[in-house]
Amino acid sequence: MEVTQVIEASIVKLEINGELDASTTIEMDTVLKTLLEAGSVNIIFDCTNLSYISSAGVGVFISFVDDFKDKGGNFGFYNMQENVHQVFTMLGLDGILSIVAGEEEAKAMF
Amino acid sequence: MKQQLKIACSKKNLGEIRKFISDSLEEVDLDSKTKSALILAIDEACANAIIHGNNNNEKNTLEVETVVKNKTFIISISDVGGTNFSRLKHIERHIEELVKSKSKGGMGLKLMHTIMDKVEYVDVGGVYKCRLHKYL
Repeated sequence: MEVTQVIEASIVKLEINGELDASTTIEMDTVLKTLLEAGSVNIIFDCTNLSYISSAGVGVFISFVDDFKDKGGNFGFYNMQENVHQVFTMLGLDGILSIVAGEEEAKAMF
Repeated sequence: MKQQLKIACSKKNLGEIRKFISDSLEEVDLDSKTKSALILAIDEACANAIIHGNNNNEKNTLEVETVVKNKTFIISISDVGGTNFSRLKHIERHIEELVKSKSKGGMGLKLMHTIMDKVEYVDVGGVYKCRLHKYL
C-alpha cells in the first residue's frame, strides 16, 4: 500500500493505493499520527485505488477520527469501490464516518 | 474439489491467502459481492490466527483448506504450532463504543459472524481449526 499526500489550502488529500490490511495499517497509522501532531486535521481520502480493506484498516480510521474532530477537523472518504464500501456498511460506519461520492463533495465538508 | 494452502504465519502473507481464496471461489456459484465478503471473512480469521494465535511467528504454519460439500463452501484454517485462537470470544460491541474507546480492533469477529452462515472452532489432536461455512 502507498499513501500520497496532496496539500490543498487547509485540506490534506490522502490518495490510498493498494490494499489496507493487517500488514499495512502501520503505514496509515504513521501518516495520520504525523498529520495530527502537525495540526493538519481536515483530511479527505481518495479511495479510487484502494482495492481492499479489512477490519484492521478500518480500525486505524476509527481510532483516530475523534482525535481529529477534537481539533476541529474531520475525515471525508470518496470514490470508494463497492467491495470497500461494503466493509464500512457491514460495520455500521456509514453514519459515523463521512463517505461521499466525489472529491468536491468531500472538500465541501470543510 | 479440495484445495489447500500451507503458508508461514506472517501478516505479510495475508495477500497471498486472499489470492488463494479468490482462486478457490472461481468455480463456486456465488455473486461477486458475496465472494468479496467471503474473502474478507477468511482474511479476518487468518489474521486472528496469525496475530493472536501465533504472535506473527513465521516459524509456525497456517493451513487453509477449501472444499464444497453438501452445497456448502467450507474453509478450514488450521493453527499449526500456535495457541488456541478460539479463545477469542465473539463480543458484540457497538461501533460507537469502539470509536469512543479509540479501539483499533474488535471488528474482525463481527465481520466473520455477519458474513458466514456458521463459524466453529475445533481441536483436532492438538491442532486448532477454525471452520467457516457458507451455504450455497
